[in-house]
Amino acid sequence: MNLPLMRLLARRAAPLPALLTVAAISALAIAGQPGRGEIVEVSPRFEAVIVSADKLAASTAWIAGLLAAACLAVVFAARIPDRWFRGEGDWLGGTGTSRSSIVRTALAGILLGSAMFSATLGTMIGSLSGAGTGPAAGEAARPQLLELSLVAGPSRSLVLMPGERFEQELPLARESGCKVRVRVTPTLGAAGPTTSARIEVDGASREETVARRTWLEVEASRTENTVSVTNTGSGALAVLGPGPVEAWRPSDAVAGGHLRLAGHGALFIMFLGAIAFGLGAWMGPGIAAALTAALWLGARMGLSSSAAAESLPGGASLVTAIEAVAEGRSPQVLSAGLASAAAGAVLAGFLLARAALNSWGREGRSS
Amino acid sequence: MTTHRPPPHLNPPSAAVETLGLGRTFRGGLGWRRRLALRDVSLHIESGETVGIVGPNGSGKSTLLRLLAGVDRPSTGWVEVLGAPPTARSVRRRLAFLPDGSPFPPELSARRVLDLIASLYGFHRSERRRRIHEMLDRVGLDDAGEAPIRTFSRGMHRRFGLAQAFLTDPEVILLDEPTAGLDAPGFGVLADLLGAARQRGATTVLASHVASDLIEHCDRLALLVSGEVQRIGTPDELLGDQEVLQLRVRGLRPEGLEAVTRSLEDRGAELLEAGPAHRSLLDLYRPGEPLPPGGPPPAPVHPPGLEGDGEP
Repeated sequence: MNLPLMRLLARRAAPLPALLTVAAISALAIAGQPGRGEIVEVSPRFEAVIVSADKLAASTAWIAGLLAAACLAVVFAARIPDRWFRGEGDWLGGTGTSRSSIVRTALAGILLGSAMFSATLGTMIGSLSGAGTGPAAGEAARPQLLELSLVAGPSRSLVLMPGERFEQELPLARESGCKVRVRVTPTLGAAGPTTSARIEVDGASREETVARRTWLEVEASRTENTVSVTNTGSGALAVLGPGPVEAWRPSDAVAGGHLRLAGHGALFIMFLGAIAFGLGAWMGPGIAAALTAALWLGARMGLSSSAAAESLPGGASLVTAIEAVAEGRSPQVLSAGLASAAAGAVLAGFLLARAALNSWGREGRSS
Repeated sequence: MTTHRPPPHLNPPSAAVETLGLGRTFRGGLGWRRRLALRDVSLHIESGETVGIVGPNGSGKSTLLRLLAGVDRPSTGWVEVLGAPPTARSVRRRLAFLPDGSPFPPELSARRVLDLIASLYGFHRSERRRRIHEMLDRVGLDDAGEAPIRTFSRGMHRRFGLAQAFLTDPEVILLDEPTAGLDAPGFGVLADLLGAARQRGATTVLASHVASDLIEHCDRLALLVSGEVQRIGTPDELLGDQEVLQLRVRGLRPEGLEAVTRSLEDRGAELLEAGPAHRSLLDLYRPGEPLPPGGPPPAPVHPPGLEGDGEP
């Protein structure tokens, strides 16, 4: 591994203007959130279900920033081999270092640059939310975050007509301060478009009006092991599967919440950057970047309804992590599947680039 | 296709560079048409020799140097540098290549790029620092060492290229168009670096389309035309004209030229061209250098019978 070369490649994978662009987009996403800090009262009945703009600010910033960072990272990574073929390979390939080593170093530099995107984004959002105006800030200021400990329930959604009840068993081994929630949404099929529902665990209960997709949440003790949801209104209520029931336990990972989200984001960008680099060694940077995006989108759509979606960097797990941070919860720790997929992409990028760079002057590119 | 074992007669011990039947073809258009860049090039360059590859634009000089440097692979034939294929790691560490143009990272400073190159060659930090300082000073870029390469002029780019090629004291040095864009002091830098390389026994191959740039540095010249080596020999053998003698005379005023002309005619010779010689630009760059007395040099003086462009 050659440090000066790695520094150069990291700089090319995440040049300063691009980092500033990502930071600016994130800032705009937070500052430009419509209705931020205001409660629009439509009617007393609906007031409770209006989504606070504050709750969305952090997730919007993450999504906007990550999308910008991912696009830039793919384009920059795909351009690196092209510069080698356009002349840099003449001196780079003539030095005393093996091609494998150069490709390895380049990939390490690209990954480092990609991680810088995510770090910039995380720091940016962290500092903005630290100003005390955002929901994430409010949550981060709490002594404890919540961490997901259990997902349970049927694999499909089910509909509760007025008066009907849904029950789900929970394991007894729960910590104090644990919260249980169930994902629900109103649906057509009864008297009205909205309804009300009651959630009960261990004698604690809470009743809410349900007018949109939402979570019914209640704090649970350790004495009972059943959560139930009853449709107490006049409209129909759908309990949304798969795994509509989540148990969250207290966590001391206050700063770790953003770090974990940054980890999810970094894996996503590294995954794309490594593939773009490998493909860029075989084709022009524009085609390589477009193909990388198409491959990822294809995988995202193909895996959307399967368990494998959790292992696609930038897929379901990232969305869940962003949602969790927006709600002031700690996202899940990076799974082994996710890390394996990213490592596989890095290996694929290395092998592709190594094979293409057998000769610095491929026939199709030489003139 | 490239053979994998060199023929037995290839690469006698003294050869620094040896090629046999070397050829390179590039695909063109949709891959159906093929463009021949090099055809059947066989060269034998002794250790310590300085050889110039001369030829018009597009004759295959850069392609030949890229093959010798191991950054491209031949379509046919065989190439060995220092007794092994140029792609071998043991060879690459003893070889340096100055490519055509300036393909160095434009965003980095000269010092940073040299540091990167020296580190790729495996030099230690303290050794890198020492060499970089010396080399930048030697090529006259010490003051510009921290400036990004993209801000360099063409001549500075070329001097920087020379610095990177000679930085590691390589045994084989391949220079593609080293004189292109060089200013007068740059030529002095090149001569100095080539002289030092020759002294330590390095082998140098230079490619240029201007033969006169290479004559004074090269032991031999190879003439490359349309991808084929047409002739190879010493500069005198290739470019020398036995019928024409060149004289440079000091201490003769233009009025004395008539007597010289007559004397030459008495011996059956014909004076083709005569006139005051020009001083080197390098002399004028030296601070405090006085101009010749009487202001600008006099107009060219032609011998009797020769007018204007030298035609009778």
